Amino acid sequence: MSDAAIGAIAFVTLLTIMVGARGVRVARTPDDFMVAARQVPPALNASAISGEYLSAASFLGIAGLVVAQGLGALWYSVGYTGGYLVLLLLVAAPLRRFGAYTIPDFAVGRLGSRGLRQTATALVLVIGWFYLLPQMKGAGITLQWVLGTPYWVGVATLGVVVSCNIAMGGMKGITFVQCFQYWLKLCAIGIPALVLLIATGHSFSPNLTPDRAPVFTQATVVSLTQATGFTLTRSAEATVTGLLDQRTFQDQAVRLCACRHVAGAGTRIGFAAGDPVPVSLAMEPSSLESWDSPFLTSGTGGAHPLAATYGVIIATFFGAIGLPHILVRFYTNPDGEAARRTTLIVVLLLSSFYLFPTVLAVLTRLHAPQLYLSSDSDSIVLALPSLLLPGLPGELLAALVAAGAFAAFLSTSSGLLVSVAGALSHDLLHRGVNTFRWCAISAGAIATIAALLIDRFSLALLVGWAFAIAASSFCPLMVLGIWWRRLTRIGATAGIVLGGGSCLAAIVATMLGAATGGWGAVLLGQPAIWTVPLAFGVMIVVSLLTQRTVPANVGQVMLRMHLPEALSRQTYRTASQASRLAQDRRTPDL
Amino acid sequence: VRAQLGLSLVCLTFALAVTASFPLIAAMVPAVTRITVDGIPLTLIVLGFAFYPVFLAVGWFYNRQARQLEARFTSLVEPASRRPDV
Repeated sequence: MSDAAIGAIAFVTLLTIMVGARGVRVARTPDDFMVAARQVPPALNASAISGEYLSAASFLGIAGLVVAQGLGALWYSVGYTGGYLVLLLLVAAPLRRFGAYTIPDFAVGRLGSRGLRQTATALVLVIGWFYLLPQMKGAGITLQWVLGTPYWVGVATLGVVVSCNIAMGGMKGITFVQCFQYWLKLCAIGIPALVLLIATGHSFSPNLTPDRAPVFTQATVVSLTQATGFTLTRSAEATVTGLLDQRTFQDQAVRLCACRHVAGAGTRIGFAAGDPVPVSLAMEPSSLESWDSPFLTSGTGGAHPLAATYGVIIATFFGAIGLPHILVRFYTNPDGEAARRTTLIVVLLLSSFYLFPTVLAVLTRLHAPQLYLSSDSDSIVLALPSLLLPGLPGELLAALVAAGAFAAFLSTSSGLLVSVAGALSHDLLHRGVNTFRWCAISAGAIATIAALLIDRFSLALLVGWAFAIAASSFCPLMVLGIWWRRLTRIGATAGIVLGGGSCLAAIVATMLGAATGGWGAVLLGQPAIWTVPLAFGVMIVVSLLTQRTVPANVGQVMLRMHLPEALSRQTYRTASQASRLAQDRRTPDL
Repeated sequence: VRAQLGLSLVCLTFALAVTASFPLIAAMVPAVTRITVDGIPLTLIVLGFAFYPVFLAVGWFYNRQARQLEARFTSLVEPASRRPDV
């Protein structure tokens, strides 16, 4: 669309490739970057974690979802942040002291089981791929909007860039780059939000009043890029040019009834101030009636919103613990105390970031409600700046947003792909760096192909599902593994398989459209509400039944996780044999 | 360790209770969702802005308490563990 946006995206991409190319020289082996990064100060590390964490869903998805479905979608951003609070409270410091790089490593180190490693690895792959899909989709939308290319071009571009980049050297190890990405993203969403807020000014708008359908605040011409079906809540006078309800108009005044209408591609409809905003049929029906309901309706067809809301809360609060690409970052903290401080700073950074999608969504609601008619809610953030601020400033802001969005896709999908490829090559195939490269490329290819098939799901929804799987499989493993001595490997395996498996099955069923309303849709669409308790329950019950298989070294392992650093150094010296074994297990690997 | 777990659980319960109570209140008293402050719906204020300071406060409180617990534990164990070391 604009040259500035193209330039900005190209710049971000080139920067990433260049850093990746340098990574070939800097990080020859996985050990290099893991060990070298051990003394990262909390503030820097926190920025890096946030940079990797803030994905397409945060950048584009939440604002879009809020506009489309109402304030209830803000639960996603609250949950994404709250997840780090739970992480801080339950696992941050013990995990750093334990010294595992990946969840499979943790499972093996804590419970000493090969079979568990395979299971955990398989789940890392599933979660990683689920999380990769929305990144790919976001890239597809962004390029589609900036360049007008078909959806698949953007998806393929991101897939190729990220896969090749990681196969070449990996950008994961360079904490500084991830840190830079966070600030880039914050600027890319914060500056447009603030500028638009100032530019449009604070004026009372009827669109924020509860229980009211949105109306146009000023005379607006809506241009439809594709054939669209929409409904009106009240009848309205409009000036129509083009095809509407199978009749062709030429700048004529038409009385539109409060019913369904179908407009052809290229139709332009002019509304006067105070007219109701048409709502696209492609969107969820609930978007109209209760925009400011605090409940969430996505993925469930609007049924039982309270249960769906709790499903999202549980999934996002507990899911962050189980995300494979985040965990590895915690090992770069000097000690457990620093890990705690890092996590707190992450909460702060995420909080400040998530203010801005909210602002953008509210601005859309107030001043550009015609975006309701765009068929894809995820592109709203991209389209907003140039709508509200015509001319060069708007284009520059749009370029900034596009670049930030691309930074989001690149950083998150790189981190994920490293995790996925690492799990494939190290935990499943037990091979070295060369296999890792091939795994990166093939994993990227699979994700790219899958992303082409899922373009009808919203970004925030897809990421929410990845969280749900993580919450109902790895979260119980980590929490019980850290705090409960009597966890056994059979119990852990059973919990992971049942919890994660049922959650995955529910999500796949939703994707295939198994249930469209009622309780079925809620329980399948937001499965975390029952799969997380299920996973915890199974893990505890089966562990209690198999107490004979509690690992012999459980006391030692627990001691290492919970002892303050000042003491643990002495303990290592006295407990010679066992802790030396433990240190062998900690040798960095990928 | 037990104290640490207790501390974690107290903080977790508090944070979850605060979070989970809002939808429950809204479901039972629908009028809450219609409150507006200066033209801005309460839902927007709570979901969009109010939760984050709460999270930060809980996290900060937890960090301080955890550090104190560890310091106390260290000073308790220190004399005992130094003997075999020296």
